[in-house]
Amino acid sequence: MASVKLRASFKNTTGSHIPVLKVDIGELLSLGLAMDEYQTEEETAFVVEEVSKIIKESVEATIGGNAYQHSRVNQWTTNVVEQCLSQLSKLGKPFKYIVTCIIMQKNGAGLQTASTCFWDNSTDGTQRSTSVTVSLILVLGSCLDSSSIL
Amino acid sequence: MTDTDTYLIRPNHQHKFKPAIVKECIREIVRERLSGMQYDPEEVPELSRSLAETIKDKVKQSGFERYKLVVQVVIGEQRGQGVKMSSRCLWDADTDNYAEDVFMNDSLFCVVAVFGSYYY
Repeated sequence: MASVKLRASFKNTTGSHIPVLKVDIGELLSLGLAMDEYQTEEETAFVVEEVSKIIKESVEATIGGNAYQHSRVNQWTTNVVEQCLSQLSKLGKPFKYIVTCIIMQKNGAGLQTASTCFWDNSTDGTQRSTSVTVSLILVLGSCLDSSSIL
Repeated sequence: MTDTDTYLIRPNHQHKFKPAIVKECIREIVRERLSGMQYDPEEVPELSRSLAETIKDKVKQSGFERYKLVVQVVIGEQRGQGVKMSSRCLWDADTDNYAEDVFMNDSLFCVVAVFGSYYY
């Protein structure tokens, strides 16, 4: 018979009495009481190639080689972003995603994008792709924030 | 038990990401930096980068601890072209939020988006 030490405390700081039990996952694993389903480091890291592939596919599927059309651009941005997001969520990683897309008509004007992030470099990352066709410029960026409750 | 466990996995209402406050931050900084500026391809890369850094620092100081931030700044020249920007996020709608602002003058337009994601 195995026994595991549990620590209990009652949180009173915010006025809510939530019992909090703290258990050491390592102890449980070594006692064979917990399955090793906690994802490994590799599975939860940010994989750049997969994300680039997804971005490229979404862009090609939605816009293909079309010219800029004011009436359709609304639909395009929505589709590209939603497709990207659904593919990313299918990866099944414990990540939050932020996907942004800019489509601009090409008429000689300049465009500059910059982004800065405050996060954990070891788990989070960003990927950006720019496609330029004859008539339009598309910049697609996606940021991944790892969020694991442990 | 008097263990001092105070690890929060959800922000208190006061500590939530408040879009209105952040939008005000963004607005002040952008108007101050960009009023009267012309689009200059030499300066714009540096300008957009420093704008993003300034906004990020200002938002950090506004007291959103436990929030990871992503700040995006887009500056474009105004030449009558059409442009559309959209974004989608997969996150925890209860704790995470975003704020955005658009600034325009005769020669340029600037879009700033700040996303805040709670770090559990």
